[in-house]
Amino acid sequence: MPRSPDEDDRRLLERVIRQDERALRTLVQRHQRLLFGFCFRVVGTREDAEEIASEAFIRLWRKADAYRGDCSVKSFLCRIALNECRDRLRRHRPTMGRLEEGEGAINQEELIVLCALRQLEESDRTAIVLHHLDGLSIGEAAEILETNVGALKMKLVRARSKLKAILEDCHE
Amino acid sequence: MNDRELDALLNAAMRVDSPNLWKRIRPQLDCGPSWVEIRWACAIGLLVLAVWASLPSVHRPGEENFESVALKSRMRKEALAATMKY
Repeated sequence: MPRSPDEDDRRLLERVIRQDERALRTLVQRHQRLLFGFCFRVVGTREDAEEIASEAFIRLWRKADAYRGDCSVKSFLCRIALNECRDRLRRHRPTMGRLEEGEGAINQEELIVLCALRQLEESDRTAIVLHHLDGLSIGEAAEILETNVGALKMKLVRARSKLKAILEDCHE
Repeated sequence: MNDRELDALLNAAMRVDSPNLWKRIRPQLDCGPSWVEIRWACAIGLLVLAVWASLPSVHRPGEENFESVALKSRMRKEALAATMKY
């Protein structure tokens, strides 16, 4: 019977605990897109996102045994990255680099959404990014944000209505 | 803007392309050379050795010196032994 991606990740993580570099490399290849995209949308610049996503994997390498198995490896990685994003945003308030097509953002819709996201509070932005843009289920997003599914659903409803208002303002 | 329009916009917002993070991560792992690097180093070492061994054995000044030093040393020992006899 084929193993689920999460089971595969857990096996890889066990090897990472034993300092198996190839296992870490496989984990990087599997999750770098998600992690980088998530960080980029939360902190707003490609350089910061690249640095934070890399740092998350390096922390995983050094402290893989801190994983308690209470969530998926993907969620664990996102939590590490989210903490780092929050630290960074706290240290230097959103510089939110200049947005240009081709620089991280791929199309016009992405550009519009990114601009609007930047006007949301960090917690609202993170919720929207995880669920709507990174395509994680509500359960997975709740795991990362260390909240329950009901509370996250409520947060998403409020965040969506704020986002709509911002986008409507943009159109006017 | 209604919910459906918002969903359509969010769906249209593509995933961002990620750079190759491994290049950035690898040097920071503090775990010495990778297997690939070790294999390359061994392969290059073997190649150099093979090329050196296949060179025609012509005049090698180092070897000649070594031989002559060994010869002189032997001769000295023989001379010493002969002297001790008398």
